[in-house]
Amino acid sequence: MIQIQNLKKSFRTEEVETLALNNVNFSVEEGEFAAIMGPSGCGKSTLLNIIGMLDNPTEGSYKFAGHEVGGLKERQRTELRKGNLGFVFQSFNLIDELTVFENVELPLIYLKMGKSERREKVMKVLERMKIAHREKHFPHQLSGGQQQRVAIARAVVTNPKLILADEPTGNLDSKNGIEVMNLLTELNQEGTTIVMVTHSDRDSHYAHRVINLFDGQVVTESQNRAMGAMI
Amino acid sequence: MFKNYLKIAWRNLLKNRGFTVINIAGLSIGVAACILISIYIFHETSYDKQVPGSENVYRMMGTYIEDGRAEVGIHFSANTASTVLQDFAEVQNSGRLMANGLFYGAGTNEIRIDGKAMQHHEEAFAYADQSILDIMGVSMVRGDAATALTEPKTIVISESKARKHFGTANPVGQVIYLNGDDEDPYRVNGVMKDFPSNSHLDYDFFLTMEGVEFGEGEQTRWFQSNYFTYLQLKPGTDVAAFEEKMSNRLIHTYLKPAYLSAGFVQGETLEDQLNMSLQKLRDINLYSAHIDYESSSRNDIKIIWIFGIIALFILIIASINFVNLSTAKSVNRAKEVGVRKVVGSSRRYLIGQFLTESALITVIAFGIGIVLSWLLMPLFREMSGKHLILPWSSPIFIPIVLLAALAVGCLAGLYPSFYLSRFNPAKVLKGMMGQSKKTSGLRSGLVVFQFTISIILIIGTFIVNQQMDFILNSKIGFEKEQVVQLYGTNMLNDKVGTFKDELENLNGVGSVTISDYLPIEGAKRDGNSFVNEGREQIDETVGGQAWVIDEDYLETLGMKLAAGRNFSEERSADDEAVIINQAMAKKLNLSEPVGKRISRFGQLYEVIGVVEDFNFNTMKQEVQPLCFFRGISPSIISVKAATGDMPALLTSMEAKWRQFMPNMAFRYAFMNDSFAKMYRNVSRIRTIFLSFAILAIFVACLGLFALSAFLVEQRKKEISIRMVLGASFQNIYKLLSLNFLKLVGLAILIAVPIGWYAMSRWLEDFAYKITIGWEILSGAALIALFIAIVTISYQSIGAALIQPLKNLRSE
Repeated sequence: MIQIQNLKKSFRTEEVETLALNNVNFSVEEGEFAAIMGPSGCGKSTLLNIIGMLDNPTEGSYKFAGHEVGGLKERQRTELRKGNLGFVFQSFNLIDELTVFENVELPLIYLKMGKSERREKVMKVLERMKIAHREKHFPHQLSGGQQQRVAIARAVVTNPKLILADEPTGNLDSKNGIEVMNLLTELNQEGTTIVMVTHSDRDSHYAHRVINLFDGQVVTESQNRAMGAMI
Repeated sequence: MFKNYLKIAWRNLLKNRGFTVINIAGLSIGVAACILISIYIFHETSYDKQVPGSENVYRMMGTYIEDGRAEVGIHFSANTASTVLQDFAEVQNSGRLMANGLFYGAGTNEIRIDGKAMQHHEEAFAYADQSILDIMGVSMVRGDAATALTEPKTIVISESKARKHFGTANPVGQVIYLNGDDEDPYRVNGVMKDFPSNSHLDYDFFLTMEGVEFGEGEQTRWFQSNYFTYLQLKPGTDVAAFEEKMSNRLIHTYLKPAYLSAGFVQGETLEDQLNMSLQKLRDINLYSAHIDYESSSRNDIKIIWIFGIIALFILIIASINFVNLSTAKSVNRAKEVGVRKVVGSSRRYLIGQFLTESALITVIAFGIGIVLSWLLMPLFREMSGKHLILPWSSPIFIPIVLLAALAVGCLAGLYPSFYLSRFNPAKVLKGMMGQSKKTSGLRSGLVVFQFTISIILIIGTFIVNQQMDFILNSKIGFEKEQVVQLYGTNMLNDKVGTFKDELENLNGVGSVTISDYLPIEGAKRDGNSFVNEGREQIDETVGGQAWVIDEDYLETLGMKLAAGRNFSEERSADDEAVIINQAMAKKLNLSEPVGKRISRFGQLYEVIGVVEDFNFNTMKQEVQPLCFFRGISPSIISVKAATGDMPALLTSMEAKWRQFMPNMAFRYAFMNDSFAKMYRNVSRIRTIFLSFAILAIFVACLGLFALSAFLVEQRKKEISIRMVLGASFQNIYKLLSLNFLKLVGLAILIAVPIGWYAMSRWLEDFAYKITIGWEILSGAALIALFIAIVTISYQSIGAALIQPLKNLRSE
C-alpha cells in the first residue's frame, strides 16, 4: 500500500536548513499494522505527515496504492485523502464548536454524502465506539478517552484504507490507552492498514512491525512475534 | 454544506462573544451612519428631478467679471424671459419668478381672508408667470393648472396653506387681501400641491405677474434685474451652442444699447465682462454655492462629497476592525482549519466557510444598522433640517441593503478567509502556528489607516467648529444682541411713527428704528448703481445696495460711523443725503467721501457719513458696497432693549401692539436668532460633521480596544515569563503599549498634512476665515494620542497586573 524510496525532507529557515528525513526507505503492505518509533525530533511526525499527504517530500518517491503522490499539489492531495485516509492524533483534534455527531459527520460532508446516509453511518460508528449516547455532547464535555474514541470514529467513518495514528494514547491514562489500542487492533483485523507513531513500547507491541527512526533515517525494522500480545 | 457553515459560524459568534459584539457593534454603527448619510445624499441629489422633463429645464445665470473677480448672478430684467422665448427657436417656454421682498407682495405679507377680521402673517410669497407653473409641472389640487395665473390679481396657494386658512372649504374664487389693503383684492384661482422637500422652490403663494409693473417702465428696462428666469429648451438642443448664441444676442442686441443709452460706461465693454449661461434645474440645489444672493438653504456638492466620504470611512473603519480581529484571533481558529483539512476539506470549502461567517456578521450588523438608523432618523432629521425618511416602501431598499451587507461581508472577509484557509494542517495541529510578520504588518497598516482617518476627522471637526465660532462671534460690524424685531408693522400704515414713539417710551427700551433693510438673510435688498458726481459718462458704475433707514437705525443696531454724521430729523436736506459704507467709499475711490456727491439713476446725493463695514451677507462673501438713504420702510421695527428683563419688555410691547393692531398677531424675533439662521446650514453641517467624526473615532477605538485585548491574551505567557524574570509594571506597560502608540504617531504624521490641506481648501469658500494654526493640528494629534492611550491602557494595565504563575501553570 505504501512504498517509500529515498525520501528526504528538509526545512529551510532564513539561516539554516534542517534535514528532517534523510533517505528513508520502507514499505507497508495492505492490512499491515506498522509502528514508527524513535526519540523526539527523529522525524517520526514529519514522516507521518508525508504518508498522510499533509506535506510533500523534498526528494524521493512516495507511492500510495501504486500511485506516485510525492509531488502532488494541495488540492490533489486533499482529493486523495478524502475517504482513503483517517487520522488519529495525540491531542484528539476535535473541533470544539461541533458536537460529537457533527465531528464524526464532517468527513462525510466533504464527501458530499446525503444526509440520511450520513446519519446512518455516523450512528453506526458511534455505537461501535460505544459513544453514541454522547452524540449531542461537545468535546469539552467528554473525558480524554471518550474524545479519542470520537476521533477514531471520525477517522474510520469513511472506511478508509489507511489509518494514521500519531501518538494515539499519548494524552490518555493506561486504561483508556489500552482501550484505544484495542480499537485500532480490531480495525486492523478487519482489514484496515494502520501506521502509528508512538513513543510507547507497550503500544508498539500491538503492531506487526516496528520501524525505528533516528536522525531522520530508518535504523532498524523489527517484526513482532505475537500480534496483539497484550490484548 | 452551507447549513454546516452557518451552524459553525453561529456557534463561533456565540463562543467569541467579545469579538462578535465589537465587530457587530462597530459595523452596525457604520451601517447606520452609512444609511443615514446615503438617504441624506440621495435626498440632496434628487432635487427637482420630479419636475416633468426636468432635464430640459434651466435657470439663467449671468457671470460678470469685475476687478478680476467673477460675480455670478441669477437676477434678470423683466423682459429677458419673453425676449429669449421670442428670439430663439430652441426655447420651448420661459418664465419669471420674483420673491424679492423689496417689491410689494413678494416675500412676506399679512393676509386677511375676505369676510374675516384676523390678519395672518404668511411667508413664501413670489410673483410668477403662468409659464412657471407649466415649466415646473406644478400640479393642482383645485383649479385649472393651465390658467391659474393667467388673469390679473389672481393667486395660487399651496394645499397646506389652503387647509390652514379655509379648512375643508374650496378656496377657489375666494378673496384674499394683503397687508390690510382692502382696495386691492386677490382672487384665489388654484390650490397647488405643496412643493416636495426636494424641490428648490419652496413657495406657498404665487401671485400672478399678469398686469404687474413695479414702477414705470420696469417691465421693459434691461438693467433692472429682479427676476429668476427659467427656460424650457426643446429636447435635443445643443445647450453649449445655445448659451453662446443667447449670451451674444442678449448683450449685443439689447443690453449694450440699453446700457449705453442710459449713460452706463460699462456698456462699452459689456461683452468682455458679461457672459450669460444656463444652470440645469437639477443642479440648482448643489451647484449654486458660487452664486451671489442665492438662498442659504441651498446645499453644496462639496458637502455631499465630504459626507459621502465620511460615511464610507466609517464603514471602512468598521470593516478594518473585522479584518484585524479575524487575523489576530487566527491562532484560535488554526486547529479547526487543520482538522478540517485533514478530514477532507479543500481550501475552497474553508474560504466558503469563513466568508459565510463574515457575511453572517455583516448581515446581522446591517439588520441592527437599519434598526439603529430608524431609531436615529428623527434626530438626524432635526440635525440636517431635511425631511428625510427611510424608504421602506421602495422595493429596492431592503435588497440593496442586503446586497451591500453581503458585499461588505465578502470584502471584509476576503483577506481573513484566504489567510486562515492557507494554514498548513501538519503545522497547526502540532501547535506550530505563530503570528506571521505579514499579518501583523497588515494589521499595523490598517490601524495606521484607521487612525489617519480619525485624526483627519478630528482636525476637520476642530476647524469647522472654530470657523463657525469665528463667524458667529467675531466683529460683524453691528450689535445683534438684545435686538427684537417686530414684523408686520407696515399694517400700521401712517401710525407706524406713532407706534415707534410709544415703543420708545416703554421701560427697558433703548432705541427703536423702522426699516425692512437688515443685515440678516430674508430682509429686504435693493441693488442699485452708483457713480461719482461728474463721472457719469466716464466711470463704470459701482453696484451696491441701497437701503432705506431712519435716524435711529445706526444707534439701534450699534453701527459705528467712521466719518461724518448720522441722518438728522432737523435737517430736511438729509432727504437728499446718503451714508455710505467703507466698501462703497473704496469702490468709488473716495478717500474723503464726506461732502462729496454721488449719483444714482441720475440723481445726486451728498455723502454725509461713512459707516464702518458690517456684514449683511454670509461671511462667505466680502462686504459689498452699500448706501443708506433716509426714509421709511415700514414692515419691520427693530427695538434695542436696555433691560435684562426681556419677557417683561415683550409683554409690554405686545400690550402696545394690541392697542394699535387688535386683529393681528404680535410677531417678533430676536436678531441674534435671525443672524444664526443665516448660518444654519453651516451650523447643521458642523453638527453632522461632529457627530459622524465622533462615531468614526469611536468605531476605530472599539477595534483598537479589541485588538489590544487579543494581543495581550496571546502574549500572556510571554508577559508572565518576563515578570518572573523581573520585569516591572512599567516594563510590561511599555512593552504592550509602545507599538500601538508608534502606529498612532505614524498616523498623526500622515494625517496632519492631509487634514491641513483638505480644511484649507474648505476655508477657501469663506471671505472671512480663521487661519489654521499649529495649535489646532497639535490639539487634534494630542486628542488622538490620548484616546489611543486610554483605549490601550485598559488592556496593558490589566496585563501588567496579572499573576504570572497562573499563566505559566496553565501552560
